[in-house]
Amino acid sequence: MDDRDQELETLPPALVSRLKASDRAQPIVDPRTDRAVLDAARAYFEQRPAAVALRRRRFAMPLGAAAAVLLAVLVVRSFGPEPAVLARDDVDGSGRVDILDAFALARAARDDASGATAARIEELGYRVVALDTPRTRSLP
Amino acid sequence: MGPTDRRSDEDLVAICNVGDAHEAARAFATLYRRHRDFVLRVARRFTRDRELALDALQETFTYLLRKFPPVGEGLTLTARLPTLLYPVAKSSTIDAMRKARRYVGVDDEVLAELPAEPAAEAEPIDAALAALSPERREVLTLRFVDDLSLAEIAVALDVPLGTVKSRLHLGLKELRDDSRIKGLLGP
Repeated sequence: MDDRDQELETLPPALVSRLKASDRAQPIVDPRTDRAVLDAARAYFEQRPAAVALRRRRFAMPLGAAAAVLLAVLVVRSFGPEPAVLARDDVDGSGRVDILDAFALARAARDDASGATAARIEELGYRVVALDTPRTRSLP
Repeated sequence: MGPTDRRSDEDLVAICNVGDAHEAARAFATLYRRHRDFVLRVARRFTRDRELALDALQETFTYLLRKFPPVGEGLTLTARLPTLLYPVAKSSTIDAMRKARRYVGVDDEVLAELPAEPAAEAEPIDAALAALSPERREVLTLRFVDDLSLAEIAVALDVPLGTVKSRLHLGLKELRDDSRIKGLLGP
């Protein structure tokens, strides 16, 4: 006899009905037990937010610090120019990269003393415009 | 949600596992209302004592409750919930009977197999069922009253599937041969 046959092996429906009816003949209704179980469940689950909050406090400091460091690195890498680039662009040696450096580069090109090209001057001009914020203008 | 809550047991168990306190309590209440009568019926198969059956009901759902966080690790349903609840309800009933000292001096194994005595005014079918061995009666009841599949019965009783098949087959044969219910079995 295979599994399917075994599952199909059955009793007449009338007999099954009587078995079920007999098993369910004595329902027990007890509101006190219902209340006890449900009250216990509520009290049990109410412990949950406290536990979650505790876990949150335990990890809050290290997670916050790690997130701050990561954010700082991302900001600097995304928006901050490389120091070597800034130093190269500080043509007049003032410690700042500004439009005066573009003029200085133009003068050097005119004097043909540095090998500066028009493309290099134009590139520096664009970069000065892009750097025109207090945060990125000064050299480190 | 009330008794008409259509969410599956799996969904409700998942909420009990990870939901907030309010959601989890509501989901658990739905599970309780959905399966309370089943657990009580199981308890009544082993004891006619109403109070003991109610104790077993409470113990069974306390066991289920503690499966969920923060105490438990969470519950993963690998079978239908009644399959999990059946052995808990059975052992809770037997524990309650033992605590009540109704069977002092009776060996635990014997106690585990004790059926509830059929009532004096029992129907012929009840008498025929009561005449079966406890193992066969248990399998027949789970199969035809609780509508569990053979595989689910094997899980609920923690016995091999072949054992379930054998008990079912022999139990049915015994019932068919019982003269008290010949009329119910047809020609």
